[in-house]
Amino acid sequence: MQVSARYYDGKTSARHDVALSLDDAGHLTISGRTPDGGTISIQYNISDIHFPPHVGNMRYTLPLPDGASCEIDDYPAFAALIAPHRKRSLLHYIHRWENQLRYALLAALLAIAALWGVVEYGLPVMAKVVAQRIPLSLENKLGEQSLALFDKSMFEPSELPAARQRALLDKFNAFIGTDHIRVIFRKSDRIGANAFALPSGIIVFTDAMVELAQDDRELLGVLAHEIGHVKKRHVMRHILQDSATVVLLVMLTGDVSSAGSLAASIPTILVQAKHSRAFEEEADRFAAQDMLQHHISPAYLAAILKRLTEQHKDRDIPDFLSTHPNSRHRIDELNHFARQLKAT
Amino acid sequence: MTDTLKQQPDSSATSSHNTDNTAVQSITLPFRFTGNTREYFGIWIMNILFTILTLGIYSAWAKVRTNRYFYGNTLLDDAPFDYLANPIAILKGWAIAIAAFAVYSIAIHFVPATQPIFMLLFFILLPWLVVRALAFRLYNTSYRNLRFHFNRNYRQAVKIFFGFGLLVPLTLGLMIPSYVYRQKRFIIDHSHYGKSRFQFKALESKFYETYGIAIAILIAGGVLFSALIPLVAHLFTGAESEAVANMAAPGKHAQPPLAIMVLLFAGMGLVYLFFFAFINTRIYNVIWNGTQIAGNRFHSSLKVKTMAWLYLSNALAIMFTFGLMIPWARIRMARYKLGNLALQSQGNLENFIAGEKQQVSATGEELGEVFDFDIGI
Repeated sequence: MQVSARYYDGKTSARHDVALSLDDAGHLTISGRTPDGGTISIQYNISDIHFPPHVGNMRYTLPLPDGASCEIDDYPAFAALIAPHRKRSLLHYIHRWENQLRYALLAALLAIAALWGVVEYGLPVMAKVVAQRIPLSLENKLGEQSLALFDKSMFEPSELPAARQRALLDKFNAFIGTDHIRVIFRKSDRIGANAFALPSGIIVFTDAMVELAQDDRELLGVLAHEIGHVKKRHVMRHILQDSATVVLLVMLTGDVSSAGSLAASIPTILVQAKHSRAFEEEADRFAAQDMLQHHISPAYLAAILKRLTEQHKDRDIPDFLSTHPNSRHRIDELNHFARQLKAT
Repeated sequence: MTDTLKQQPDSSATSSHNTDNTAVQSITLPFRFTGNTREYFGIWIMNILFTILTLGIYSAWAKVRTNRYFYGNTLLDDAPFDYLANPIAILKGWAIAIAAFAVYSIAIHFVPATQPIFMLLFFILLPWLVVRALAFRLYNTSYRNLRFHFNRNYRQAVKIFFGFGLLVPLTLGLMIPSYVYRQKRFIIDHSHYGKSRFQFKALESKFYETYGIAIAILIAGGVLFSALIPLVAHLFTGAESEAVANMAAPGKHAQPPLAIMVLLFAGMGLVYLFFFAFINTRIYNVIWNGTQIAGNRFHSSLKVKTMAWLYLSNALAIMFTFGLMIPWARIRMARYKLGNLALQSQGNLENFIAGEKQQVSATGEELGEVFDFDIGI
């Protein structure tokens, strides 16, 4: 059997029509004529030839060991010719799948599922593993900078009486123990009652938050929740997940126009919002366990969370706690933990 | 012409095309693109699937397959182009680029003050990146089994991308056409096919002309719409209440229906689209029409209107199908661009000879891709 091809010697751009044939001993012979009447007859050992996987249904370019190449129109005929001598790699199968619509559609469904799986589970797990290995001290600079930024833009010095601050800090420090946590108080009319964890273990309580509490144990619950954010490395995980998502998008979209990347990034934003809710729940679970260890009922955290939610209903300012639509669920969970305490 | 086509010394097949015969009539060899959406969709979706499943590793193979498909379906004188890059080389470059991106994104998160330092570093590295990326891309492009190659002239690259790049903000953008012209001239004048060098003969004035007309279009569109918006607004308020009272302050308290305003702003968007399409298309034509190799000239005849329509319809199609129509968009763009490109050839394309081999790493190219800047003509 012969397959027609065009031969290029790799030294010039001249093109020669040739025929390829394979004998039983495994010799691939290229034979043809040059325009001036000379003959081309070159023989290769088929085991010396590397057959690159084909792409699409275009012409197949076969590189030859001496730098020459052949351009083959009828790829199926050629593939049949060399089939016994060819090592099949995954790419050969990929080429076959690419060419069949049902596989392509199946791949489309799988790709969507896989993308969802990676963004939903793969990246968070990777971020978690990596974040736990990065020392907290690396966040020091970031913590100071974000505090300085907040101090400039939103915070004022706390107006709580010094004695009250000291008394609370004593209770807090007893609760914190040996952990690397620093609690500070700030006044902010814009933020209202809130508490949050900055990088490197700085935890900020607003004056309004302290005033909202009807029992100091409620504040210990809030503290435990924020310690949960610090210990579970939520800041670092956020950064890692976001960067990894960007890298993934760059890889997938390649040179797509910015409009395409924009459309592709919308689902990612939704997933990220879901992740921050997962972080809140993780911090709640941590807080409940921490409180149980200190023999404080998680119901205190639930109580202040409930009051906070009610208060934020009247306000229009979105902030850390009120943006989480599942606070009802969170309060229930915490009360569930509280009942466990009573049972024991 | 100093760089005429060199003859293969011992070739016996070229007697009818010797240099003394260059007076023969030139023939037009059109480029042809034979790719189709159905086929490319399969390649594209498999690339995405395996890239996700391998957490990005496969992207190197994906890139090679995509480029081989597009190059292999680009025919000139009934011979295809080929993309020869080794996926492993791309993977290495990609790993370096990802590491650099990780360092960059973590650093700017933790120490935001380092952002300007990175910008500066990036600016300093730009000439190197451009040269490396071009060298990699051209070395791995072949036609009739002869490779292209890019002469790595870093000194010249620094002069243009660094030196000239600094002049642009200093002259308030007046030098942009000149800057673009110099970049393109640098790229084309340092490109080779086999031993033959490409030559850039386009006039700098063409670049100024294109940018000048484009800015005139933008200004005219801007004036038209900034007049039209308050006018329409005024018409609507006028119809509803006492027209005379509103005459005094036209359009001041205008509250026309939202749909009309949206339509007007969409019109403004179209003006911008046309502006960019105009620059891209005209500059693309100017570059190709000014490019020669061994006495062969290129001819590109893209229409601004068609390109603007392609940009718009592609972007909308991709957006409304969440990216599923990306293959369709890419194929029709390639088909249009290549369908309007031709080579005015003296004789035939049989007599180019191979240049020296020089391997290039893919670091520059991959850094460019991860940090999202586009190199090319």
